[in-house]
Amino acid sequence: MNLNLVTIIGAGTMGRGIAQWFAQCGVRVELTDANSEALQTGLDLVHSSWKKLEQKGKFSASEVSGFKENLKAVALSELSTSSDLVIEAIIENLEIKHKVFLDLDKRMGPKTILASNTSSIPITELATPLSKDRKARFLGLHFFNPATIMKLVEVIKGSETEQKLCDDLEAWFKEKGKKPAQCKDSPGFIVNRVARNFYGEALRIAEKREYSEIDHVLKEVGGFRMGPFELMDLIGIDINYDVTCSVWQAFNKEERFAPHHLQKEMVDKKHLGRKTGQGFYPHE
Amino acid sequence: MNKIIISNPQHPLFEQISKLENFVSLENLTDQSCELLIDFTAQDSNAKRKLFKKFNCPIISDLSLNDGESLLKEFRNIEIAISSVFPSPNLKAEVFYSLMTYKNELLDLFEKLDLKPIEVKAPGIGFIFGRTLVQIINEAWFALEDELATEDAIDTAMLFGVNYPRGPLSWGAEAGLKNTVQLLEELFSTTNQNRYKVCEKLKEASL
Repeated sequence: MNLNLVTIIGAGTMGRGIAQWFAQCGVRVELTDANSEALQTGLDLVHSSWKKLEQKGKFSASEVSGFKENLKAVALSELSTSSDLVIEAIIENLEIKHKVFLDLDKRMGPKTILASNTSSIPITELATPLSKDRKARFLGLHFFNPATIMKLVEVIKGSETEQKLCDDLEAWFKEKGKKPAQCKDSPGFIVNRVARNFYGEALRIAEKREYSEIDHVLKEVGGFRMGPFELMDLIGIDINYDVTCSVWQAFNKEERFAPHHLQKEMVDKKHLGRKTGQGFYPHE
Repeated sequence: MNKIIISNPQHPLFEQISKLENFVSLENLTDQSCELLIDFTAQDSNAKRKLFKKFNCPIISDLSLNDGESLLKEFRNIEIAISSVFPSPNLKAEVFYSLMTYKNELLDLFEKLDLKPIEVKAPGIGFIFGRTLVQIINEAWFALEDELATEDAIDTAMLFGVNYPRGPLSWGAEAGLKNTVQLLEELFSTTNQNRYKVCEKLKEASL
Protein backbone atom coordinates (compact mmCIF):
# COMPACT_ATOMS: atom_id res chain seq x y z
CA MET A 1 0.00 0.00 0.00
CA ASN A 2 1.21 3.51 -0.85
CA LEU A 3 0.00 6.55 1.05
CA ASN A 4 1.32 9.63 -0.72
CA LEU A 5 -1.25 12.15 0.40
CA VAL A 6 -3.22 12.00 3.63
CA THR A 7 -5.93 14.47 4.63
CA ILE A 8 -6.78 15.17 8.24
CA ILE A 9 -10.09 16.82 9.05
CA GLY A 10 -9.99 18.67 12.36
CA ALA A 11 -7.01 20.58 13.76
CA GLY A 12 -7.72 19.90 17.44
CA THR A 13 -5.41 17.90 19.72
CA MET A 14 -5.94 14.57 17.98
CA GLY A 15 -6.14 15.87 14.41
CA ARG A 16 -2.97 17.92 14.55
CA GLY A 17 -1.13 15.13 16.38
CA ILE A 18 -2.07 12.63 13.68
CA ALA A 19 -1.12 15.14 10.97
CA GLN A 20 2.25 15.72 12.65
CA TRP A 21 2.95 11.99 12.84
CA PHE A 22 2.15 11.39 9.14
CA ALA A 23 4.28 14.38 8.12
CA GLN A 24 7.17 12.98 10.18
CA CYS A 25 6.75 9.69 8.30
CA GLY A 26 7.46 11.48 5.04
CA VAL A 27 3.84 11.57 3.87
CA ARG A 28 2.33 14.70 2.34
CA VAL A 29 -0.47 15.90 4.63
CA GLU A 30 -3.32 18.34 4.16
CA LEU A 31 -4.66 19.49 7.52
CA THR A 32 -8.03 21.21 7.47
CA ASP A 33 -10.64 22.53 9.87
CA ALA A 34 -14.02 24.22 9.43
CA ASN A 35 -12.69 27.01 11.64
CA SER A 36 -9.84 28.85 9.89
CA GLU A 37 -8.49 30.27 13.15
CA ALA A 38 -8.36 26.80 14.71
CA LEU A 39 -6.58 25.57 11.58
CA GLN A 40 -3.87 28.23 11.83
CA THR A 41 -3.49 27.60 15.58
CA GLY A 42 -3.19 23.86 14.91
CA LEU A 43 -0.47 24.40 12.32
CA ASP A 44 1.38 26.85 14.60
CA LEU A 45 1.31 24.34 17.45
CA VAL A 46 2.77 21.57 15.25
CA HIS A 47 5.51 23.94 14.06
CA SER A 48 6.26 24.93 17.64
CA SER A 49 6.44 21.26 18.64
CA TRP A 50 8.95 20.60 15.84
CA LYS A 51 10.99 23.62 16.95
CA LYS A 52 11.21 22.20 20.47
CA LEU A 53 12.10 18.74 19.18
CA GLU A 54 14.83 20.27 17.02
CA GLN A 55 16.21 22.17 20.02
CA LYS A 56 16.25 18.94 22.00
CA GLY A 57 18.19 17.28 19.21
CA LYS A 58 15.44 14.80 18.39
CA PHE A 59 15.27 16.02 14.77
CA SER A 60 17.79 17.91 12.63
CA ALA A 61 16.98 21.28 11.06
CA SER A 62 16.78 19.70 7.62
CA GLU A 63 14.41 17.00 8.89
CA VAL A 64 12.14 19.64 10.40
CA SER A 65 12.27 21.63 7.19
CA GLY A 66 11.16 18.49 5.31
CA PHE A 67 8.31 17.90 7.79
CA LYS A 68 7.10 21.47 7.28
CA GLU A 69 7.17 20.91 3.54
CA ASN A 70 5.02 17.84 4.03
CA LEU A 71 2.35 19.50 6.16
CA LYS A 72 0.03 22.07 4.63
CA ALA A 73 -2.95 23.83 6.15
CA VAL A 74 -5.71 23.83 3.55
CA ALA A 75 -9.20 25.33 3.63
CA LEU A 76 -11.96 22.74 3.69
CA SER A 77 -13.23 23.86 0.27
CA GLU A 78 -9.80 23.54 -1.33
CA LEU A 79 -8.82 20.01 -0.36
CA SER A 80 -7.18 17.83 -3.02
CA THR A 81 -9.60 15.23 -4.26
CA SER A 82 -6.78 12.78 -4.94
CA SER A 83 -6.02 12.04 -1.29
CA ASP A 84 -5.19 8.38 -0.57
CA LEU A 85 -6.57 8.51 2.95
CA VAL A 86 -8.81 10.98 4.77
CA ILE A 87 -8.97 10.76 8.57
CA GLU A 88 -11.73 12.63 10.35
CA ALA A 89 -10.87 13.81 13.88
CA ILE A 90 -13.64 16.23 14.75
CA ILE A 91 -16.24 16.49 17.54
CA GLU A 92 -17.94 13.21 18.60
CA ASN A 93 -21.30 14.06 17.04
CA LEU A 94 -22.89 11.58 14.64
CA GLU A 95 -24.89 14.15 12.68
CA ILE A 96 -21.91 16.42 12.06
CA LYS A 97 -19.68 13.48 11.13
CA HIS A 98 -22.32 12.19 8.69
CA LYS A 99 -22.37 15.56 6.93
CA VAL A 100 -18.59 15.58 6.65
CA PHE A 101 -18.38 12.02 5.28
CA LEU A 102 -21.24 12.56 2.82
CA ASP A 103 -19.42 15.58 1.44
CA LEU A 104 -16.12 13.67 1.27
CA ASP A 105 -17.78 10.71 -0.43
CA LYS A 106 -18.96 13.00 -3.23
CA ARG A 107 -15.74 15.02 -3.57
CA MET A 108 -13.00 12.44 -3.18
CA GLY A 109 -11.75 10.13 -5.90
CA PRO A 110 -13.09 6.56 -5.97
CA LYS A 111 -9.94 5.07 -4.44
CA THR A 112 -9.74 7.40 -1.45
CA ILE A 113 -10.03 5.61 1.89
CA LEU A 114 -12.23 7.38 4.43
CA ALA A 115 -11.54 6.83 8.12
CA SER A 116 -12.75 8.12 11.46
CA ASN A 117 -10.71 8.60 14.61
CA THR A 118 -13.86 8.23 16.70
CA SER A 119 -13.47 6.60 20.10
CA SER A 120 -17.16 6.00 20.73
CA ILE A 121 -19.36 6.02 17.61
CA PRO A 122 -19.83 2.67 15.82
CA ILE A 123 -17.98 2.61 12.50
CA THR A 124 -20.85 0.86 10.71
CA GLU A 125 -23.25 3.59 11.85
CA LEU A 126 -20.87 6.29 10.64
CA ALA A 127 -20.75 4.63 7.21
CA THR A 128 -24.55 4.55 6.80
CA PRO A 129 -24.93 7.51 4.40
CA LEU A 130 -22.00 6.50 2.19
CA SER A 131 -22.17 4.95 -1.27
CA LYS A 132 -21.78 1.17 -1.47
CA ASP A 133 -18.26 1.30 -2.92
CA ARG A 134 -17.11 3.81 -0.34
CA LYS A 135 -18.46 1.70 2.51
CA ALA A 136 -15.95 -0.95 1.51
CA ARG A 137 -13.20 1.68 1.82
CA PHE A 138 -14.40 3.11 5.14
CA LEU A 139 -12.99 2.12 8.53
CA GLY A 140 -12.00 3.32 11.97
CA LEU A 141 -8.42 4.40 12.67
CA HIS A 142 -8.28 5.19 16.36
CA PHE A 143 -5.08 6.93 17.42
CA PHE A 144 -4.09 7.64 21.02
CA ASN A 145 -2.96 10.92 22.51
CA PRO A 146 -0.25 12.11 21.93
CA ALA A 147 -0.44 10.57 18.48
CA THR A 148 3.23 11.24 17.72
CA ILE A 149 4.29 9.19 20.76
CA MET A 150 1.63 6.57 21.48
CA LYS A 151 2.25 3.62 19.18
CA LEU A 152 -1.20 2.07 19.10
CA VAL A 153 -3.63 2.51 16.23
CA GLU A 154 -6.85 0.52 16.54
CA VAL A 155 -7.82 -0.54 13.00
CA ILE A 156 -11.58 -1.03 13.16
CA LYS A 157 -13.45 -2.98 10.52
CA GLY A 158 -17.02 -1.88 9.87
CA SER A 159 -19.57 -4.43 8.68
CA GLU A 160 -18.87 -3.57 5.03
CA THR A 161 -15.17 -2.70 5.20
CA GLU A 162 -12.95 -4.82 2.92
CA GLN A 163 -10.77 -7.11 5.03
CA LYS A 164 -7.86 -6.52 2.66
CA LEU A 165 -8.00 -2.79 3.32
CA CYS A 166 -7.63 -3.41 7.08
CA ASP A 167 -4.77 -5.85 6.48
CA ASP A 168 -2.96 -3.44 4.13
CA LEU A 169 -3.29 -0.53 6.55
CA GLU A 170 -2.15 -2.70 9.44
CA ALA A 171 0.98 -3.63 7.48
CA TRP A 172 1.59 0.01 6.49
CA PHE A 173 1.35 1.25 10.09
CA LYS A 174 3.64 -1.54 11.26
CA GLU A 175 6.21 -0.57 8.68
CA LYS A 176 6.10 3.03 9.94
CA GLY A 177 6.72 1.99 13.56
CA LYS A 178 3.18 1.99 14.93
CA LYS A 179 1.65 -0.98 16.77
CA PRO A 180 -1.67 -1.52 15.01
CA ALA A 181 -4.35 -3.75 16.51
CA GLN A 182 -7.23 -4.85 14.33
CA CYS A 183 -10.62 -5.23 15.96
CA LYS A 184 -14.29 -5.53 15.27
CA ASP A 185 -16.69 -2.62 15.43
CA SER A 186 -17.82 -3.00 19.04
CA PRO A 187 -18.39 -0.46 21.87
CA GLY A 188 -15.15 1.01 23.21
CA PHE A 189 -13.20 -1.07 20.66
CA ILE A 190 -10.33 -2.72 22.60
CA VAL A 191 -8.73 -0.14 24.88
CA ASN A 192 -11.74 1.82 26.06
CA ARG A 193 -13.49 -1.46 26.87
CA VAL A 194 -10.72 -3.46 28.56
CA ALA A 195 -9.41 -0.45 30.50
CA ARG A 196 -12.79 0.36 32.06
CA ASN A 197 -12.21 -1.74 35.16
CA PHE A 198 -8.86 -0.15 35.91
CA TYR A 199 -11.01 2.82 36.96
CA GLY A 200 -14.21 0.97 37.87
CA GLU A 201 -12.58 -1.44 40.30
CA ALA A 202 -10.40 1.25 41.84
CA LEU A 203 -13.51 3.35 42.47
CA ARG A 204 -15.15 0.44 44.28
CA ILE A 205 -12.04 -0.25 46.35
CA ALA A 206 -12.06 3.46 47.25
CA GLU A 207 -15.30 2.96 49.16
CA LYS A 208 -13.07 1.72 51.99
CA ARG A 209 -9.62 2.98 51.09
CA GLU A 210 -7.84 6.22 50.26
CA TYR A 211 -7.22 7.23 46.63
CA SER A 212 -3.54 7.78 47.34
CA GLU A 213 -3.11 4.25 48.74
CA ILE A 214 -4.76 2.70 45.68
CA ASP A 215 -2.68 4.80 43.27
CA HIS A 216 0.48 3.99 45.20
CA VAL A 217 -0.13 0.22 45.13
CA LEU A 218 -1.11 0.10 41.46
CA LYS A 219 2.03 1.99 40.50
CA GLU A 220 4.44 0.26 42.84
CA VAL A 221 3.10 -3.29 42.69
CA GLY A 222 1.14 -3.23 39.42
CA GLY A 223 3.76 -1.29 37.50
CA PHE A 224 1.17 1.04 35.96
CA ARG A 225 2.68 4.40 35.05
CA MET A 226 -0.10 6.34 36.75
CA GLY A 227 -2.67 5.35 39.34
CA PRO A 228 -6.34 5.36 38.30
CA PHE A 229 -7.22 8.46 40.35
CA GLU A 230 -4.23 10.45 39.10
CA LEU A 231 -5.12 9.40 35.57
CA MET A 232 -8.80 10.34 35.91
CA ASP A 233 -7.69 13.75 37.20
CA LEU A 234 -5.44 14.12 34.17
CA ILE A 235 -7.96 12.93 31.56
CA GLY A 236 -10.86 14.81 33.15
CA ILE A 237 -13.29 13.04 35.47
CA ASP A 238 -16.18 14.21 33.26
CA ILE A 239 -14.60 12.75 30.12
CA ASN A 240 -13.84 9.45 31.83
CA TYR A 241 -17.38 9.35 33.21
CA ASP A 242 -18.84 9.99 29.72
CA VAL A 243 -16.81 7.11 28.24
CA THR A 244 -17.91 4.84 31.10
CA CYS A 245 -21.57 5.72 30.58
CA SER A 246 -21.29 5.33 26.80
CA VAL A 247 -19.74 1.83 27.04
CA TRP A 248 -22.21 0.83 29.77
CA GLN A 249 -25.21 1.95 27.67
CA ALA A 250 -23.83 0.25 24.57
CA PHE A 251 -23.53 -3.03 26.51
CA ASN A 252 -27.17 -2.80 27.64
CA LYS A 253 -26.16 -1.67 31.12
CA GLU A 254 -24.06 -4.74 31.91
CA GLU A 255 -23.16 -4.48 35.58
CA ARG A 256 -19.44 -4.85 35.01
CA PHE A 257 -19.37 -1.57 33.06
CA ALA A 258 -21.62 0.38 35.43
CA PRO A 259 -20.38 3.85 36.39
CA HIS A 260 -19.73 4.47 40.09
CA HIS A 261 -21.75 7.04 42.04
CA LEU A 262 -18.53 8.80 43.02
CA GLN A 263 -17.89 9.72 39.36
CA LYS A 264 -21.25 11.44 39.06
CA GLU A 265 -20.82 13.18 42.40
CA MET A 266 -17.46 14.57 41.29
CA VAL A 267 -18.94 15.75 37.97
CA ASP A 268 -21.92 17.37 39.71
CA LYS A 269 -19.54 19.21 42.06
CA LYS A 270 -17.44 20.29 39.03
CA HIS A 271 -14.44 18.57 40.58
CA LEU A 272 -13.22 17.46 37.18
CA GLY A 273 -9.51 17.03 37.85
CA ARG A 274 -6.53 19.15 36.89
CA LYS A 275 -8.52 21.40 34.59
CA THR A 276 -10.69 22.72 37.44
CA GLY A 277 -8.00 22.65 40.12
CA GLN A 278 -9.81 19.94 42.08
CA GLY A 279 -10.41 16.32 41.31
CA PHE A 280 -9.67 13.30 43.45
CA TYR A 281 -6.66 15.37 44.48
CA PRO A 282 -6.25 19.14 44.78
CA HIS A 283 -4.28 20.75 41.94
CA GLU A 284 -2.74 24.19 41.99
CA MET B 1 12.67 -21.21 65.61
CA ASN B 2 10.54 -24.15 64.66
CA LYS B 3 8.72 -22.80 61.61
CA ILE B 4 7.06 -24.36 58.60
CA ILE B 5 6.83 -22.82 55.15
CA ILE B 6 4.17 -24.33 52.93
CA SER B 7 3.04 -23.77 49.36
CA ASN B 8 1.29 -25.55 46.52
CA PRO B 9 2.03 -25.74 42.77
CA GLN B 10 -0.91 -23.39 42.05
CA HIS B 11 1.18 -20.57 43.50
CA PRO B 12 3.30 -18.99 40.70
CA LEU B 13 6.29 -18.76 43.08
CA PHE B 14 6.04 -22.42 44.15
CA GLU B 15 9.34 -23.43 42.60
CA GLN B 16 11.29 -20.69 44.40
CA ILE B 17 9.42 -21.22 47.67
CA SER B 18 10.03 -24.96 47.56
CA LYS B 19 13.79 -24.32 47.68
CA LEU B 20 13.56 -22.49 51.02
CA GLU B 21 14.66 -24.04 54.27
CA ASN B 22 11.77 -25.44 56.37
CA PHE B 23 9.66 -25.94 53.26
CA VAL B 24 6.91 -28.56 53.27
CA SER B 25 4.66 -29.10 50.31
CA LEU B 26 0.98 -28.70 51.16
CA GLU B 27 0.26 -32.27 50.06
CA ASN B 28 2.92 -33.62 52.44
CA LEU B 29 1.81 -31.53 55.39
CA THR B 30 1.04 -33.61 58.45
CA ASP B 31 -0.43 -32.56 61.78
CA GLN B 32 2.85 -31.27 63.02
CA SER B 33 3.17 -28.43 65.48
CA CYS B 34 5.37 -25.38 64.99
CA GLU B 35 6.01 -21.91 66.37
CA LEU B 36 5.28 -20.08 63.12
CA LEU B 37 3.39 -21.14 60.00
CA ILE B 38 4.27 -19.32 56.78
CA ASP B 39 1.54 -20.15 54.32
CA PHE B 40 2.26 -19.51 50.66
CA THR B 41 -0.57 -21.62 49.31
CA ALA B 42 -2.87 -20.35 46.57
CA GLN B 43 -6.26 -21.82 47.39
CA ASP B 44 -9.84 -20.85 48.08
CA SER B 45 -11.05 -19.61 51.45
CA ASN B 46 -12.63 -22.91 52.56
CA ALA B 47 -9.36 -24.75 51.98
CA LYS B 48 -7.56 -21.98 53.86
CA ARG B 49 -9.97 -22.35 56.78
CA LYS B 50 -9.29 -26.10 56.95
CA LEU B 51 -5.58 -25.40 56.99
CA PHE B 52 -5.70 -22.66 59.64
CA LYS B 53 -7.80 -24.83 61.96
CA LYS B 54 -4.84 -27.20 62.22
CA PHE B 55 -2.54 -24.51 63.62
CA ASN B 56 -2.73 -22.54 66.86
CA CYS B 57 0.58 -20.81 66.28
CA PRO B 58 1.08 -17.36 64.69
CA ILE B 59 0.51 -17.42 60.92
CA ILE B 60 1.82 -15.40 57.99
CA SER B 61 -0.49 -16.14 55.09
CA ASP B 62 -0.74 -15.33 51.41
CA LEU B 63 -4.37 -14.23 51.03
CA SER B 64 -4.14 -13.12 47.39
CA LEU B 65 -7.23 -15.11 46.40
CA ASN B 66 -9.27 -14.63 49.55
CA ASP B 67 -11.52 -12.35 51.50
CA GLY B 68 -8.71 -11.43 53.85
CA GLU B 69 -10.90 -9.18 56.01
CA SER B 70 -13.12 -12.10 57.00
CA LEU B 71 -10.29 -14.60 57.47
CA LEU B 72 -8.40 -12.19 59.71
CA LYS B 73 -11.49 -11.75 61.89
CA GLU B 74 -12.03 -15.50 62.03
CA PHE B 75 -8.43 -16.48 62.71
CA ARG B 76 -6.86 -14.01 65.14
CA ASN B 77 -3.51 -15.81 64.89
CA ILE B 78 -2.98 -14.55 61.30
CA GLU B 79 -0.50 -11.84 62.13
CA ILE B 80 0.59 -10.89 58.63
CA ALA B 81 -1.35 -11.16 55.37
CA ILE B 82 0.47 -10.90 52.06
CA SER B 83 -0.38 -11.00 48.37
CA SER B 84 2.19 -12.50 46.04
CA VAL B 85 0.19 -14.61 43.58
CA PHE B 86 -0.34 -11.96 40.90
CA PRO B 87 2.99 -11.17 39.22
CA SER B 88 4.25 -7.68 39.91
CA PRO B 89 6.42 -6.24 37.10
CA ASN B 90 8.33 -4.41 39.85
CA LEU B 91 8.68 -7.55 42.00
CA LYS B 92 6.70 -5.96 44.84
CA ALA B 93 3.93 -7.43 46.96
CA GLU B 94 1.28 -5.97 49.25
CA VAL B 95 1.70 -6.72 52.94
CA PHE B 96 -0.74 -6.09 55.78
CA TYR B 97 0.57 -6.28 59.34
CA SER B 98 -1.98 -7.10 61.97
CA LEU B 99 0.93 -7.54 64.39
CA MET B 100 4.58 -6.68 63.85
CA THR B 101 6.14 -9.57 65.82
CA TYR B 102 7.26 -11.49 62.74
CA LYS B 103 7.99 -8.56 60.44
CA ASN B 104 11.70 -9.44 60.23
CA GLU B 105 10.89 -13.06 59.42
CA LEU B 106 8.80 -11.84 56.52
CA LEU B 107 11.36 -9.34 55.28
CA ASP B 108 14.02 -12.04 55.36
CA LEU B 109 11.78 -14.35 53.37
CA PHE B 110 10.88 -11.65 50.85
CA GLU B 111 14.54 -10.96 50.28
CA LYS B 112 15.12 -14.62 49.47
CA LEU B 113 12.23 -14.51 47.02
CA ASP B 114 13.48 -11.24 45.51
CA LEU B 115 10.29 -9.43 46.55
CA LYS B 116 9.89 -5.98 48.09
CA PRO B 117 7.00 -5.34 50.49
CA ILE B 118 4.51 -2.52 50.02
CA GLU B 119 2.60 -2.03 53.24
CA VAL B 120 -1.16 -1.53 52.97
CA LYS B 121 -3.81 -0.57 55.51
CA ALA B 122 -6.06 -3.61 54.98
CA PRO B 123 -6.10 -6.80 52.92
CA GLY B 124 -9.62 -6.22 51.58
CA ILE B 125 -10.74 -8.95 49.18
CA GLY B 126 -7.73 -9.99 47.14
CA PHE B 127 -5.85 -6.83 48.13
CA ILE B 128 -5.73 -3.81 45.78
CA PHE B 129 -3.56 -4.99 42.91
CA GLY B 130 -4.96 -8.51 42.51
CA ARG B 131 -8.56 -7.34 42.65
CA THR B 132 -8.00 -4.68 39.98
CA LEU B 133 -5.92 -6.96 37.78
CA VAL B 134 -8.38 -9.88 37.68
CA GLN B 135 -11.14 -7.53 36.56
CA ILE B 136 -8.98 -6.29 33.67
CA ILE B 137 -8.05 -9.88 32.76
CA ASN B 138 -11.70 -10.98 32.92
CA GLU B 139 -12.72 -8.22 30.50
CA ALA B 140 -9.90 -9.14 28.11
CA TRP B 141 -11.34 -12.68 28.10
CA PHE B 142 -14.86 -11.36 27.48
CA ALA B 143 -13.41 -9.45 24.51
CA LEU B 144 -11.80 -12.64 23.26
CA GLU B 145 -15.05 -14.55 23.75
CA ASP B 146 -16.86 -11.89 21.67
CA GLU B 147 -14.17 -12.32 18.98
CA LEU B 148 -13.47 -8.60 19.24
CA ALA B 149 -9.83 -9.15 18.30
CA THR B 150 -7.05 -11.72 18.46
CA GLU B 151 -5.17 -12.41 21.72
CA ASP B 152 -2.17 -10.66 20.29
CA ALA B 153 -4.18 -7.59 19.23
CA ILE B 154 -5.80 -7.28 22.69
CA ASP B 155 -2.45 -7.41 24.47
CA THR B 156 -0.84 -5.07 21.92
CA ALA B 157 -3.64 -2.54 22.35
CA MET B 158 -3.27 -2.41 26.13
CA LEU B 159 0.53 -2.32 26.01
CA PHE B 160 0.77 0.46 23.45
CA GLY B 161 -2.52 2.36 23.86
CA VAL B 162 -2.43 2.83 27.64
CA ASN B 163 1.10 1.69 28.47
CA TYR B 164 0.11 -1.29 30.62
CA PRO B 165 3.26 -3.07 31.79
CA ARG B 166 1.91 -6.42 30.50
CA GLY B 167 -0.81 -7.39 28.06
CA PRO B 168 -3.78 -8.56 30.17
CA LEU B 169 -4.01 -11.98 28.54
CA SER B 170 -0.36 -12.82 28.96
CA TRP B 171 -0.50 -11.36 32.50
CA GLY B 172 -3.39 -13.72 33.27
CA ALA B 173 -1.44 -16.67 31.91
CA GLU B 174 1.54 -15.72 34.07
CA ALA B 175 -0.63 -15.41 37.19
CA GLY B 176 -2.43 -18.66 36.44
CA LEU B 177 -5.95 -18.69 35.05
CA LYS B 178 -7.13 -20.82 37.97
CA ASN B 179 -5.95 -18.14 40.39
CA THR B 180 -7.66 -15.43 38.35
CA VAL B 181 -10.95 -17.36 38.37
CA GLN B 182 -10.67 -18.11 42.09
CA LEU B 183 -10.32 -14.46 43.06
CA LEU B 184 -13.18 -13.44 40.76
CA GLU B 185 -15.36 -16.14 42.34
CA GLU B 186 -14.38 -14.96 45.82
CA LEU B 187 -15.31 -11.39 44.87
CA PHE B 188 -18.61 -12.59 43.42
CA SER B 189 -19.56 -14.74 46.41
CA THR B 190 -18.51 -12.09 48.94
CA THR B 191 -20.13 -9.07 47.30
CA ASN B 192 -22.94 -10.83 45.42
CA GLN B 193 -22.36 -8.44 42.50
CA ASN B 194 -22.68 -9.59 38.90
CA ARG B 195 -19.77 -7.37 37.88
CA TYR B 196 -17.50 -10.17 39.12
CA LYS B 197 -19.10 -12.94 37.06
CA VAL B 198 -16.36 -14.96 35.43
CA CYS B 199 -16.21 -15.04 31.62
CA GLU B 200 -17.18 -18.59 30.53
CA LYS B 201 -14.28 -18.80 28.10
CA LEU B 202 -11.87 -17.90 30.90
CA LYS B 203 -13.47 -20.46 33.19
CA GLU B 204 -13.15 -23.19 30.56
CA ALA B 205 -9.53 -22.26 29.83
CA SER B 206 -8.70 -22.43 33.54
CA LEU B 207 -9.78 -26.07 33.88
